[in-house]
Amino acid sequence: MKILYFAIIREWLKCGEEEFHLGSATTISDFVKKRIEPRLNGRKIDGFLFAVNENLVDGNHLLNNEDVLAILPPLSGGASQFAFR
Amino acid sequence: MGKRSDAGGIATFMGLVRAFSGGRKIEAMELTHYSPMAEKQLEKLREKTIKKFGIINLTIVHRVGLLRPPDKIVGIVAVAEHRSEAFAACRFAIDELKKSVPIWKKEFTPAGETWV
Repeated sequence: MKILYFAIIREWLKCGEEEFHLGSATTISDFVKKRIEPRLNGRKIDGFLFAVNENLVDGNHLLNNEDVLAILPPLSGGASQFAFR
Repeated sequence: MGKRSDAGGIATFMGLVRAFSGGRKIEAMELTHYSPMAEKQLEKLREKTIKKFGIINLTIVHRVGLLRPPDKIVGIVAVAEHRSEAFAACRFAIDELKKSVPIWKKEFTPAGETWV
């Protein structure tokens, strides 16, 4: 699975993209909590959005190894129904 | 578009880089985006706006990269039979763009840089 980072989270992680291999099906929320948040030094990504294969999805979306997951900081227009909480 | 005989009004919006924001002097602004999702979302927005307001056409142009005041950032043109729909479509398009298109802005000021 490829992950793309943009704007501020790209700066936090000092990385624009990575590859992960998923051993089993996992939701975006679980993946973020286990594999992304521990690397953020206490910073929170509440309000961030997720896109899988260029379509906005919520945290319950199940990921697979063929997906391209993009982690998107909040857009300037305000909160979205898809925002991570 | 102005040559269409049923076009009665053209409304436009132009977004610019401000020289000041929240009391801070803006020296530059960097816009980054998630291409190709941004392009897809812009096209979806265009189609949604045309359908919602029953207008003739809508054009959206958005720049990315490093800009300085008073550079143009985004331009929207709405063509409709009547001015009411043209104005409404133009307003809707810029409001929705900010909620749905993955573009981010970083402001550079004398005090440092901030994502806004």
